[in-house]
Amino acid sequence: MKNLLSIFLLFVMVACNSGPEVIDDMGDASFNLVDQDSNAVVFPDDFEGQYVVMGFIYTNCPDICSLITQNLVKIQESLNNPEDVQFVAATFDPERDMPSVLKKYGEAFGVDENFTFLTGDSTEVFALMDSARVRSQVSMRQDTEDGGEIYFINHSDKIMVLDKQSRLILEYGGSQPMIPSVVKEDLERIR
Amino acid sequence: MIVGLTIGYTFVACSQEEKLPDVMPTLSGPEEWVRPAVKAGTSAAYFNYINELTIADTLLGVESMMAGITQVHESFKDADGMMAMKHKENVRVPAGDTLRFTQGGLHIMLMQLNEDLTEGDSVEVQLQFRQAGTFTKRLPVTSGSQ
Repeated sequence: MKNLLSIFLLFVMVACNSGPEVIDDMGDASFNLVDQDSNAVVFPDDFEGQYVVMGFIYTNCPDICSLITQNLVKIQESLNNPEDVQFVAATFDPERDMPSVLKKYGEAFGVDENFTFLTGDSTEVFALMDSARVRSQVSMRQDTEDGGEIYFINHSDKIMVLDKQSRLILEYGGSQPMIPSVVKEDLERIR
Repeated sequence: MIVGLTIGYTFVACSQEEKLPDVMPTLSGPEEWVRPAVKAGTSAAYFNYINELTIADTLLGVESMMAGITQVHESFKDADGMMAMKHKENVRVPAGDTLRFTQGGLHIMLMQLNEDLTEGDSVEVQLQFRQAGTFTKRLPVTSGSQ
């Protein structure tokens, strides 16, 4: 019986040490983007060697996307602003979400260091979205009194984690309120 | 038997996948607030309204001097699993019921903001009801995440 118990524990240890399954290798491709300060960013290359917790948003979405951004900030705070984890929010509305817009948006959430907003040329942004399997579709177009137009976007609800080799290892529903504690637990287990 | 239990336990112990509910649970935080946002951008207002009448009422429209366009929207998950919003032209409120504007649900959209909304500011919104008439609410601007 004692031997069986030892074998059982060894089996659990080996199985648990294998770490999370790799969902996709995001390091296979590179995307030329810009951050909220208009600095050039090559994703995911510039983040290699660090874990990345990443969400997908657009700033004209004050409800669900704010919950996603809020969750990213809460994860960062709950982990006590770790130096080996980068936090990223990428927009799928590059037409309106220019760097200056993202910078002011981030300020409203009190984002700290190690928090990067990404935007850029539409082709690059949507190539990144395809790679991350983030869907978005313009909906609810409305004309405005000044002759302009506003629109909203249906979109995936996602926060994901990349490991130090830019491999996608964890995915979550980004706006769910329990996500910060779930991600914190998972990161503490795998780091 | 033991091998079966071992494999079963290992799956449970090492599972990285979390089964998450589709329905948005109630969120903590202030109940009456407006999200900070920048001029020309979009914000949202959250609060509760109680229909104290003895008959059902209908919210016909919303307005705010702070925004070029003010509308009632509802967030929801569409048939393809994507998050979406729809414009609610009218909202029925049964007698004695509470109309809840909350994150992830019904909310008041403040679009094309006339100025930056920052912590410490306040925003007035007016709700037009069929029975109760105009109801005015002043709400503080706060991040809502504290």
